[in-house]
Amino acid sequence: MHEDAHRFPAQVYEIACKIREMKIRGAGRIAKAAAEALGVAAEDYKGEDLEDFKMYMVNVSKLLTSTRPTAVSLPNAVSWVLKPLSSPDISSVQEAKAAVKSRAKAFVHYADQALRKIAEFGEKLLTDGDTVLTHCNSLAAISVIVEAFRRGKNIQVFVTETRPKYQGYITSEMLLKEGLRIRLIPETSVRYLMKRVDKVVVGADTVAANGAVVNKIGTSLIALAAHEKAVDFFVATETFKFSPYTFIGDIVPIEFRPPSEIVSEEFLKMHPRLKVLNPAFDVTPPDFISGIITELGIIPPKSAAIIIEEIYGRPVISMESPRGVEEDTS
Amino acid sequence: MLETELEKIVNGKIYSSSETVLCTLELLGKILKQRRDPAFFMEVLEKILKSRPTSAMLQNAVRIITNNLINANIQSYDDLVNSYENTRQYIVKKIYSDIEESSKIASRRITNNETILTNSYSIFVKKTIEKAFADGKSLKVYVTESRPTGEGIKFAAELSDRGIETYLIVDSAVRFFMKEVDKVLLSSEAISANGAVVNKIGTSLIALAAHEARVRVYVVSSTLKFSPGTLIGELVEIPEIEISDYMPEGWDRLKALRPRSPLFDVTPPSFIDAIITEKGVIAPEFAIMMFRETFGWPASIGGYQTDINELREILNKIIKW
Repeated sequence: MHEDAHRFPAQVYEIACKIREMKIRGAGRIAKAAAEALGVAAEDYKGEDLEDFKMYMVNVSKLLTSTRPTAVSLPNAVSWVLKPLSSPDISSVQEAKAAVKSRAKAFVHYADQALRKIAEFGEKLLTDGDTVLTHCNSLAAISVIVEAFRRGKNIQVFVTETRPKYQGYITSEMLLKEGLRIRLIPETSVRYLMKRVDKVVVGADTVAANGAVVNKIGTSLIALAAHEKAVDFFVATETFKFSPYTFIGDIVPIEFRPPSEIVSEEFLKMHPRLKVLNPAFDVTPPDFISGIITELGIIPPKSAAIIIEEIYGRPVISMESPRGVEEDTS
Repeated sequence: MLETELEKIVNGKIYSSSETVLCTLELLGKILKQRRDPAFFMEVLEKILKSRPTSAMLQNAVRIITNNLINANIQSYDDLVNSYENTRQYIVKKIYSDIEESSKIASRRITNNETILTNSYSIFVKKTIEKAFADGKSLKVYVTESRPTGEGIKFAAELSDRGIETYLIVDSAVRFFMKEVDKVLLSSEAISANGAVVNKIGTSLIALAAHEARVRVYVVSSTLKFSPGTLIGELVEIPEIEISDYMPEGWDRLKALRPRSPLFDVTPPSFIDAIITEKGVIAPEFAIMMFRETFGWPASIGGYQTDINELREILNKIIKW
């Protein structure tokens, strides 16, 4: 609880809770939701003290960034939306509120546009008759596949179940709705089936400065199997998932989620000595990645630093910018 | 009652391949004694063989039974029952002694304070870990849940109940944890002439991740699991199963698609450091020498269908009496 938590509007809490409980999932959606929450919080603020407003917004952003530690899109969205607050041109609460609200709106708009661009660039990588493998539930990856399909390319998709939370089932439903042919597969069968795969397209939670991609657990294993078979492996992601923090040496924290996502509470009680480890993400080395599809273009993974410099300039980020918490305590 | 036992075997509800063989042999013995119906005996045997076309141990057991019945001087139905029962006891004894011997040798490969990773549910691997633990070695064991069937959960629970420090992980987390692993222990459904190991789906992915991380991979097995047909070019058949039974609640539209998954995969010999059998530790490429010792050279064996046909002929003769 933050000291002036009672001042946050209920809707902001609701969004924070939904992100924490993974009712809002996926780095892109989390970023958009956080931007929206900041807009709502700014609108709701009652008071005339500019410094107090700034403190209030910082506390709201702390609440939002503490929900999930790994997705850098969250602190990136928050610091982008709140950037006007550090400008000397802002002299009143009215101006500050208006600036935050318009940035929040602009961010959501940018995110939507970015997905469209990614689909447009990425679809060119897929050819007629391809079998594409995807993992988890990435809007960016799905938009690439769907765009290629809409342009008349006959595409079949292998979708991994994505244990423990089965997000692959959501992806399957989304692709089926678009009319694509899908095959739902357990992660264990990925190497066996890789001989029938032409391309892998996945999303990202965070892209590090060296081009390593942090994404749903299992991504790096799939990338390894693709690498072994010389199958192209693409990552589709908006640039706000590139982590400026890694540029200044920060390590991307990997969130461990509760054991009950894998086995039931009753089962754990029956076997009290059994330990269950549930990391939510893993890191795919840039060597396994053929290209990163962003709204600014398709880049080789090792030039991720270019994107970070383009967006954040030099120095890429101030040490005091809001960031994700170091470890998940839930 | 015999039918329910059959259902259990055919539907893959028994996960360990050794257990499947033990249950099958027992069921067939009961059928001979209670039903006195060789035709039903053959029907059941064929049904089980078809449902587990990959199980080399099952095929080898049938081969031993066929050979013994041919060589036994069967004069009456009771002779058949006795001859079968003797053979069954021989095979059961052999399986248990193989498990003992192989796991004893394998456990010597495990040193104190090591971290082991394994998947699925294997009696050979279980005994190996239990023996190393009983020898006072402090171990940490990672077990993958092994989708789609998920028997790794049961395996992890059993090891932890024994007091072994056990961590259950999802299958896709294998590469994430591999850097903490010292040795990977695997079982086998069949071993082919080139040393490739057929085992539960996901095994080859684990071996690949181990190979990348330079972690040693051992297969704990028995010469009964060598698949002699592969020496004369037969391919090991990999069956697919429908996974809707193993899917979470809801998702009716996806279940209606009746998604399927291969039940096994093939791990190439280059990813395997050693195959550990009751006869000793061998390089996978040395498997062919073990074939020679067990089945003779040149290989004079057809597929398991040949054995079934021979067995049927013997039984037909007996029925005529």
